[in-house]
Parts: sequence; structure tokens; C-alpha cells
Amino acid sequence: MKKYLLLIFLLAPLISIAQNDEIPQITNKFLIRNANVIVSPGQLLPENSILVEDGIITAVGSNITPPFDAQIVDADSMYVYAGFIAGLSHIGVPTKEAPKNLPKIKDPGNPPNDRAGITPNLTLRDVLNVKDKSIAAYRKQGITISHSVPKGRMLPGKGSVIILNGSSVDDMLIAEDISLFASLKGASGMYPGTVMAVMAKYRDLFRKANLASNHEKTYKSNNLGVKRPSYDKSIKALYPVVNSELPVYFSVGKTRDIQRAMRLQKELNFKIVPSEIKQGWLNIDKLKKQPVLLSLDLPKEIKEEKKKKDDETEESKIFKAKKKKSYDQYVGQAKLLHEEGVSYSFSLLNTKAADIHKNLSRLVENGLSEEVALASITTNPAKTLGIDDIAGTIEKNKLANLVITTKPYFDKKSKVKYVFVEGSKYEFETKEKKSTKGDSTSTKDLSGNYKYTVEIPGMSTTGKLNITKSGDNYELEITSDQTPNDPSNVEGVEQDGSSLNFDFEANAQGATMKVNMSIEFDEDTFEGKVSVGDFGSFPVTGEKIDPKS
Amino acid sequence: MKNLIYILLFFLPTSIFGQQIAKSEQGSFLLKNGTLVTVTNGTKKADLLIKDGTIAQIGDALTASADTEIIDCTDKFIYPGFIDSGCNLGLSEVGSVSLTQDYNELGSFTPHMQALTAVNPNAVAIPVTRVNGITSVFTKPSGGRFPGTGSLISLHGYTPEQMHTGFSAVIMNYPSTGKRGRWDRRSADDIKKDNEKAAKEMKDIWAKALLYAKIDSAGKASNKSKEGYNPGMDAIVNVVNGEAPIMIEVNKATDIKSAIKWAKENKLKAIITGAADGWRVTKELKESGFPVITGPVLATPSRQSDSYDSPYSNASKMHKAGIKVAIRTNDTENVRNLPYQAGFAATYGLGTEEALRSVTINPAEIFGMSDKYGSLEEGKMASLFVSDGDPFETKTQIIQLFINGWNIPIESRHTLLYDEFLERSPGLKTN
Amino acid sequence: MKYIKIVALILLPFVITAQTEKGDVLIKNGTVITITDGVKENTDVLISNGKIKSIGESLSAGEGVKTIDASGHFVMPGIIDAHSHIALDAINEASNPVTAEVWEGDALNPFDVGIYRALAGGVTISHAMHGSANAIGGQCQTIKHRWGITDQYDLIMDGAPRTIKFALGENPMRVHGEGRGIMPRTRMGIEQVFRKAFSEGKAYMEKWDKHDSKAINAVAPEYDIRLETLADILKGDILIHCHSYRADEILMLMNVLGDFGVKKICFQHVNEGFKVAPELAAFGATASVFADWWAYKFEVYYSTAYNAAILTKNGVVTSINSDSGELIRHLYHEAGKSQKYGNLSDNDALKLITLNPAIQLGIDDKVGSLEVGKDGDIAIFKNHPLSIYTVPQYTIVDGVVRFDINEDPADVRMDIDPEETVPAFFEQEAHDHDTDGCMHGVFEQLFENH
Repeated sequence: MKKYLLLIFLLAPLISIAQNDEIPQITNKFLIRNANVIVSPGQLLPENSILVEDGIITAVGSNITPPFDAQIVDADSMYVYAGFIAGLSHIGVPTKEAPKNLPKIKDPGNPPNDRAGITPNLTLRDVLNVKDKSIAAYRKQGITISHSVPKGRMLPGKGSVIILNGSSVDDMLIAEDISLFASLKGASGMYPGTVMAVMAKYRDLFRKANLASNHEKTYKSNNLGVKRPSYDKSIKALYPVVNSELPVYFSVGKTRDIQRAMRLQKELNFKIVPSEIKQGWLNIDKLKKQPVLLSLDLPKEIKEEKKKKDDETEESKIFKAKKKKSYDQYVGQAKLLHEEGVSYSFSLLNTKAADIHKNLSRLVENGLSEEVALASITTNPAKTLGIDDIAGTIEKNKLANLVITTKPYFDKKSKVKYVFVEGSKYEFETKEKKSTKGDSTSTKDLSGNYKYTVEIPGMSTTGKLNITKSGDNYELEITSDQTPNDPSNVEGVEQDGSSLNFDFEANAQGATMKVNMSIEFDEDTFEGKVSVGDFGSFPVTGEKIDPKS
Repeated sequence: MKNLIYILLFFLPTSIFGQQIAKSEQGSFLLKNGTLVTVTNGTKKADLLIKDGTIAQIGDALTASADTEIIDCTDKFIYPGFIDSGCNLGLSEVGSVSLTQDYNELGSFTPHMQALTAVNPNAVAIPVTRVNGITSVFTKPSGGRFPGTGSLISLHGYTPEQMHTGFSAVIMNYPSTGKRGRWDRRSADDIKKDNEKAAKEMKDIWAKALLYAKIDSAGKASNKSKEGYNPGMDAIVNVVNGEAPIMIEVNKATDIKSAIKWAKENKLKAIITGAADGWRVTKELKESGFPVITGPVLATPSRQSDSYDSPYSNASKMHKAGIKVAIRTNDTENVRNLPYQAGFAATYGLGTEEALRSVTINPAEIFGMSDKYGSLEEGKMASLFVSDGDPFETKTQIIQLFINGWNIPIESRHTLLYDEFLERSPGLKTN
Repeated sequence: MKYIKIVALILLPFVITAQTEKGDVLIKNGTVITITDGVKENTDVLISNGKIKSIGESLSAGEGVKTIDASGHFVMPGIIDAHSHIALDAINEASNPVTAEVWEGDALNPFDVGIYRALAGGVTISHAMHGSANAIGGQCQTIKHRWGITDQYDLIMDGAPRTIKFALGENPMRVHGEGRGIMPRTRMGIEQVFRKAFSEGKAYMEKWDKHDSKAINAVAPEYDIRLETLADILKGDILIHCHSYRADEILMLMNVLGDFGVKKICFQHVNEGFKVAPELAAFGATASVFADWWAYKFEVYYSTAYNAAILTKNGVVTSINSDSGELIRHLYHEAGKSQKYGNLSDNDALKLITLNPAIQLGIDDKVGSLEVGKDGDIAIFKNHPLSIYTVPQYTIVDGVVRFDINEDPADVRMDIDPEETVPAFFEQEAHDHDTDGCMHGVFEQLFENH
């Protein structure tokens, strides 16, 4: 199965090149003229220009004479920052469709490692898709380099640093296999399922790898009379980890998982980079010991409620105060950790592209200095990832990765106008677009052919959603990949701006269930909730299938 | 000699050999010199005569006739038998074996399901319960919007009819806006939607019920009978007319207020059961005039943010606000812990006297059976027990038990196993 | 274990000590129930740096030491619950009939309000256990109720021996045999699961014992954390606590353990223990029982509430446990039931929730009675703890007052979800003993993770 996927991914860029009739770039020289250049956080050069040639910054100054074949990019009164760097993300990694027709696992208590989500031997190269929509989406927000890791459960695989530009996997990979991505997510319906089983499995795997690595060393130094080492590929992939050569980027989130991961590190002695931290303030001592990655995913903002008559008023006051205090801790985390001497970058594992600017601004509103915020998406990740010689600041000889905004980045109304990635220019519309809250986008045409994924714990369901517009109404047809020829009819489609809400009946193994879908559109993608009868709600995401119309 | 032993063994009660309990006895019994905790007329030392199933006489130095058995109760206490105002006793034998569970029928609108029919008079749990001083229980169905009709039964008898005290009532589960349990994964929106749906369904049912009741009384007035078979509607006609009581199971504060409003609008004779959040809405409950049956007292607080003792002090807070409160276990096989449920309520604000009322005269009054049960008064049924101390204390032993005038042996599966195994014979076999 | 000698840098998880907050308290003038040395009236107890420094009259403490006036109150050792599932994020790893390697210490949740509620019932220590879905479940963890700490590993009681959960009877048969077609489906199968696991553990142990790491070109045998744990059980390094009900299965396990040289066993629930009390006493097995739960499954249909009394009177070290976040709050009341069902004396009844569970958890050198040198784990009650009218006043862990009835906050939660709209109201669940305790999370695991 994996070979098949590998083949597709390898062929994909070739296919796209063959079909590509694009006109080659006119010039690879640019002069970004007369802008406010933030060379590094806290260092602003007003009315400066940047010369870019062949993907490299060749000059930064106030008076640069451009070569004859350079394109002038007039950046008067704009702000230029070093291209942002995602300390950890899944950019470029598509969501795997649930593989069908896998052989049934005979012994769920002792499943093969790859079925249980243990694939440390997998690398980013195996799964990177140069056409994945996430690349363009994050690039639009200013992300130029990403430390991307495969998706999965406990040990999805090794991460690499990629540049968000290029038409082949080789083009994109800057630094390959620089990390092992890990989490405490258990397997579904088999061992290890619970967090304690995952912890035990880590101990088992790492100790096995340690012994195996020693065995290999012994064998290499003198193989006479010694049993030939032969170990499972997942064990082999862990040798550099147990030898402290390959760091483990451990996705943790809340405080208990942070403590668990750090406990494993203490016992098993590997290099750890605690990542996607959401509740770090309770573990500052542990986090100070190494650079970490904070999550940029913040809790929903607390809306000011209109006066509602409640039956527990004194109590609800206490409760609201407690909730606000908790909320303040989450959004004040970055500021607090900085003050306590924790050095960090940001992880975008669970942060949507559209939320990057909003959430960074929220952190600044809650006390984080703009300098530190900026450093956490430029100089800090560059250093942690070992690419600070070529990225992170705007200096001569570094990669031409730039983000150019209409106003200072942390300004509420600021918009990204240009992004340069290794000298390739991307330009974006910055006219005042209506917000996606759907005030007047009832004119937006949502019709098209979409594929969706519903994330039910333990399995994902995929299918197709066909939306056609007839007059003022929409007609929807929804199928599931398990029953592609049995579409469900949709009734009562309510549209509210760019949101759709509708009900339909789904047939599953003879039973009929009422399903409600409530989704919000954002250009070619949507996301929302699917409610199934009494079972609850599950998240759903979708994207247009290669827009043909 | 051996023959004599065999003859004697033949006549001995079977309790020594099998799991069967000894027989109960009917007759006249004079309980002498005990301390009577009458509940309604204070506590006093007196004699109590049981005759023809009732408390025939209470007085000093009563005399017995020849056929009266005299039971010396010096230094002992006599209490009215406790009443559990809500449980599933007799309706389930083994919890995990679903076919032994008879309290949850399919369907949401089934008020005509009679719990009484399904009571197993020989359920092993019945003797286990009564030996702790509980003499009658309101056993009820559960599940669905209108699970059925529950009945107050005395814990003695070989047929449900023999056990039935005469009181039955329709139960309803008011639509809840809370989570069903810790594993309820529905989001706040889902819960709201489900609740709206349930409220609408209920409204529909009730509209039909009102129409049915109207047609029914019109039919009665003109001596015509209605066509069709509608047992569910038949079962609630008298509830709709305000003649028969309805027990409304509702727990969350907002739901209680909503239920009170609904019951008042429809002029129902309501009894609020559950009321876990009763302490939050004492004002509304008091104003409604509805009595409350609450319990179990030994339960975890309904919210993570609630104080640790909120279930313990619930009954007391409601009582202090002037609400009539009865305490139930809502249990199946451990209804025997009713005295301790009441004991905890006593400790956490209710006081011993009022806690005693909550498991004797209060439920009797709520069920309209206070002419027969709930206190030690001449003329009432002789359902009572003799103990060597305060029945709320775990040290106390129940020594005598009477239900409807029958002398019930203090025996149950648990005591029989104790007798057999305390000193097992043969003991440890050593080779 | 040879493994440690080979890879010196890897530490055993249980060597890492928790950071424990220790305090000083002077409790004055209470009726002190020592458990091992009688009841002393008008007596003081002084706790210094987390340990009981002295018990006597007219004691004095240093400056600024918190003093509690216990006049008219009862002072007893903190209550110990030998079977609990509070403070846990995961209870059952139900994917395999044998999962000895998982450890509940990795799944602790210090924010569970159940901890505070247990403290409000005088309970200072609980045995956080794996569930009963598997014949050989996971390792459990004895925890101290240090409410207020935020690092889960700080709940761990230092020096508490390792323990592990076994399960007999309907639960493992229902989950594996009936649920997934994996042995065991009958009680015969359960015996063989144990014999197989122990035999494999024995073989593993022998392989590693034979291995000489110092030999030239030595290569270690294959490592397997599950077999290593089984070997540790055989060595006696891990105490077995076995969920059990029927008399025949209790006898079976004692026979199996006898065959493999395992001497210590604590049977949990053991509803039919009273039927084989002489055999339990002869083996030296201990029992941790319910006060009066029965009839919720067929294997407990023939139970008696007199179980604790019968076992005690036959010489079996017996404790009463809760297996429930609700029951743990009034274990003192559950112990009181042994006076109704069997007339146990006051001290014997209180032993069921203090010294005896301490013995079963291997921590009786540190807790379980009020003696100089033991930990300052104390519960103070208004009215005798075995009376229905008792009210817990203070609960002290390591000399730190963790529950004070005069300072009981309205909402004790420490970890609030910033996106929660209103604290959820939970309808009272039908009292289903299976989902309350030992079978937690089994259905979820087959359908979901974590």
C-alpha cells in the first residue's frame, strides 16, 4: 500500500510538469524598493530596499542600483519581514484517506507496528505532496519555510524542513530527516490504545532499540561468533533517537501530556523538543531545559454575553470569573513563558492558516511583545532547526524569503501583499474583503464538486458532496465512499452567508440515521460539524475537487 | 436416637438446608415495655398490641389474652416500618442479566405498563431489604418519557396483589437539559436540540391526552363508550383530570422550574421526584406546593463545580424552606440502605427527627396512605420493627419485624450464608 | 534486573521520587484512635516535617506551626482505599487479555475533583487501579491525595511497592471471549492465560539471568517489557491484586500462584471469599471487599454483607474498599456496616479502612496507624467515625491540611476549560456497578482512543 502511495507522489510532480503550459518566469531579479525593512525583530530600517537575485538576498540598503533586468516592486510605506518559519506543522502533508481492504488484524493485542500507528521509519519525503493545498494557504499568510512532519498517531515518522516553493519534492526539501515526530495518541481498536499503553510501548520500543543498536555496534566491531542483528524496521529507525542524535519533536498539548513526555525523556534519555504546548505554565521548570514549541492554536475568544437570566447567578459569576482566569492563562502563556526564560518557536500543527495573524495578534494584545512574537516565527525556529545561516533574518546572502505587508504586521488591518520564497514572487489581493462571517456573501457561489472527510474517532469517513445552484437555491447530493452509488438526498438546505446547514438520511448496514451537516466555506474548502442521530457530533472538512467549473 | 434426630430434622425449618426463608407468622403479639418512637405522637415507653394485622392498642401495662405471644422489648425501640418512596425492588434479579430486568419496557409513551404485574414476590432481594426495617417500597418502571405506573408494595406476600398496599401512580421523566452521564458525548448544541425535540414530543402527547380526556368525560356523561384501544391514554386520563397523582422525575434546576410551570398550567396533582438540584429552586418548589421525593442521598454532586456535600444537604435545605420531603434510595438490590440514606441527610442538616419523618409519615402522606402507614398509631397497619438502638446507626440490629401484622423472621440469603460459613464445617482440610 | 546493568543510563521509573510537600501540624486534645495502641482521650498528636513526631498529652510545637483544636473530636489515621479509579485518565487497556506492562502511574490526573471529594470523606491514600477487563491488567499506583499539586507524578506515594491488577470471572470473559473471540471465554481459559503468561515470564527471566553482560561480544537477549513485568511478578517485586468473585476461581488462582512460587496475593471484591475463608487464611492471602454490594452480576448473586466479618473472624486480613468515586467519600460508613453485619468491634471495623489496606498495599510501615515515625496522614471527625452522625472536619496528608471543612471553597476545580459555556449537569446514572468502576472505558477503547 505504501509503495503505491509513494509511486503516486513521485509521479505527481512529473504529471503536473507534463501538463503545465506555464510561461517561465520573466526574471529572477527583484528590487523591493523603499520599504520599512524589519531586518530582525526589533531592528527596523526605514526607507530601505532589498535586492534579490536568483533566490538569494544580494543587497539590503537605502540606495541600491538595480540591475537592468530586475523587476521593481514598489513597496513604498510597506513593511518587509523575513519569511516566516513554522517550527512544526503538517504543511504539504495531505490527510490520508482511510485505507480500505486492509487485512483484518488477527491479534489486536499484538498488532504489527505500522497498523498501530508506529512508523518511525516513514519520512516526510514519503508523504509530501507538492500540490497540497496547505502549501499555498500557509504561504499566503507569510509562511515560507516549514518543519513538516507526517500525520498519524503515535510515531507518524520523521520530519524535514521544506521551503514552500518548488515543483518537486527534491526542490522543496532543505534539510531532510532532522527530527522524529511523536505523540501520545493511541491506536484505534488495538494495542496500544490508552495513554498508559502508549507510554509502555515507548519504553518497550526505545529499550529494544537501545539494545539493538548496541548489538549492531558489537557486530560491526567483531562479528565472529556473534548472532547477526536483524530487527524490525521501526526499531532500526529509532537507533539515532536512542543515541541522542535525532531529536524527538513530541506533540503534547495539555499539562498532563507534557509531564508524561518529559517523564519518558527522563527515563529513556533522548533529545526532546516538547511541541504544540497549550498549557505550559504549570511545567516551566521542565520547559526551560530545552527550546520548545508553543501551540498557536488558542481557545475561542470569550464573547461579552448579553444579560441573560440564569438560575444560578451568584455561582455563574464565580464560574465566569474562573473561566476568564483560565482563558487569560492560555492567551497569556507566550508572555509568561518568555518572562520565565523559556525559549520557544510556534507550532502550527493545529492552527489554520487563516488564524495565524489573528492569533499572533491576540498574543500581543495579551502582553507578548511584538519582538518576541516575531522572533518566535523567524529567528527562533531558524536557530532550533539549524537553518539560521540561511534564513530567519533579512541579510545579504540569506535566502530571499520575505513577507511584505500593507501595514505593520501586528496591525489589525494589516494584509500580506507579497511573499517571496527563495526568490519566487507571490502577489495577493489586499482589497477590503468581506469577512468570512458571512454578512453579505450570499452572492458567493458555493456550487461545485467537493470531497469531504468526517473524523470519527477510530476511523475517518470520506465521500463526495455535489452542490449545484438552481436559481436562488442549492441542490445537494451527498455520497459516501463506502456507498458511492447510493447518494443521499438532502432536504432543507439553509444558507447563511458562506455557511450551509442541511439534513439528510444516511443508510449504514441496513439502519437509517438522520444526519445533520453544518459547514462554513472559505474559498475552496469548508469545515464544520456532522451530527449523527444520538451519537454526537464529529468534525468534517472538505475541499473542492480540482475546480473544473 | 438416630431416628429421633431424623424426625426432628424432617420437621425443622428448611432454612438450615436450603436458601429458603422460614415462614412468617400471623397472630396476636404484645410488645411489652419498649420505647415507642411513634413519629406523630412523640416518643414514649409503652406497650403495643398487634392484632388482626393492625396496631390494636398502645398503652401502659396492656394485658394479653391466651393466644397472644408476648415479646419483651425492655431497653428496645419500636419504630414504624420505613417506606422507600422510589426504587426498582422486585423488578430486577441480577443487574447484568437483562432478561431478569423488568422495569424498562420498549417505547417512550407507555404509562399503562404496570410495575406491580412484574414484581417478583420471591425476589431474593426482598427479604434482604426488609430485615433492615424497610416494610414497604414504591417500586417503579423507568426508561422513556412515560415509563409506566409504579406501586407501593409491602415487602411481604406471595403474590403482587397480596403485596399491593393500594397506591399506584403514573411516572414521567421530564425532558432533561443535562448530560445523561459522564459518557454523554453530545455537544451543548446537540443537547439543546434533543431537548427541544423532546419538549415538542411531550407537547404533542399532552395535547392528545387533553383531547382524549375531554372525549372520555363527554362519553361518560352521555353514557357512550369510545371506540378503539388506547391503553396509554386510558392510564393518564385521571392524571389529566387532576384526580390521580403523577410523579415527575426531574433533577436539573432549570428543568424543575419548567416542570413546575407545566404541571401548574395543566393543574396536575404532581409529586416531584429526584430533585437533585432541589436546593437551588426551593422558592419555586415551595410556592408550587408539590411534595418532593429525593434521593439517593449518597450520590455524587451533579456538577463538577458543586460542593462535595450538596447531595447530602439537599433534603435538609428543601425541608427548611417548608417543602414536604421524602427520601428514597432509587436502588434495586440495596434498598436496605434507606436508613443510612436518611441518616446522612440527618447528619447534614435535616436532623434525626425530620429524617425519620422523611422515611415514614411523609411518604405515607404523599401516597395518601397515612391512614394505614407511616407512624405508630392505633388503627394503623402493624408494619413496624424492634431495634436495639437508633436504626440510622450502623451498629443497631433489627430484632423483630412485622409487616401488616405478620411476624417476619429476621432471615435473608445474607444471614443464612453467614450462619453456614462463619464456622465452615468441614473447615480447612489438612492432608 | 540485568537490563539495568547493561544500559546504565536508563532509570527505573519507580526510582524517580516524587516531590512531596511536607508540613507541620499540632492536633490538640482529641480522642486519638491509634489502631495499634488503643484509644487515647485528651491526647495531642504532633506532626513535624510530614511525619508523626509524638503522641501524648500537652505537646507543644514550634513557632508558627498550624494548630488544630480537636477537643471533642476523634483523631484517626487517614483512611486508605485499596480499590479506586479516581484521578485516572485511563482505566482499561482492553486490547489484550494480558497487558502487564502498562502503568496507571502514567495516567494520573491531579485535577480530578474526585480527589478533593475523597479528602472530604477522610481518605488520604487510594490505590489507583487498572480495570478488570483483562486477566492480567496493568500496574496500579498507590497515590496520596495531595490536592492542589499540578504534576501528576507528585501524587505517587514514595516507597509504595509496585502492584498489578489481575481479574477473574465474568469481566475478562465478557470483554475478550464473548466480545472478541479471544481466550478466555470460560474460567478454564482464565487459568490457562495465567499459566501461559507466567511460564513465558519464567522463561524470559531465566534467559536474562543466564546472560553474562561482561562476556566478550555479549549480546543481550531480546527485550520485552511485558515479559519483564511478568518476570518481576514472579520475583515477588510486584504485589498482585486480583478482582475475583467466585469461590472456585479464588482457589484456582491460589493454586496457580503456588505452582509458580508467588506468595503474596490480595483478592479484590472476593464476594465469595467467605466460602473459602479457611483456605485464604492458610495461604496468607488477604481480601479487599465491598461492604454490601451484590446481585449486580450473577457471580455475586450468592453474596453476603457478612463477608468482611466472616473473613476477619477466620483470620484473613480484610479491608473494605469503594471501587467508586461515590463510595470513597464515605468509607467510614461502609466500615461501620461491618458492625451491623457481623458485630465487629470498633477497632476491628476501623482496621478495615486503615491498617489492613495498608498491609495489602505494602505500606503498613509508613501509614495505617498513628505511631511515632509514621507519615502524618490523619483524618479528624466530629462524632465517632463509625457513627452515622459523624462529619469529617480535617484531612491531613504528610502534615499538610488538604481538607478543612471551615475553608471549603464553593468550586474546587483547578483546570477549567476556557471554552466551556456552563458547568455540565450530569443526570444521576443508574447505579451500574460495572460502568462505575472496573469496566470503565472498555467500550470507548474499542471505538475510540484515549
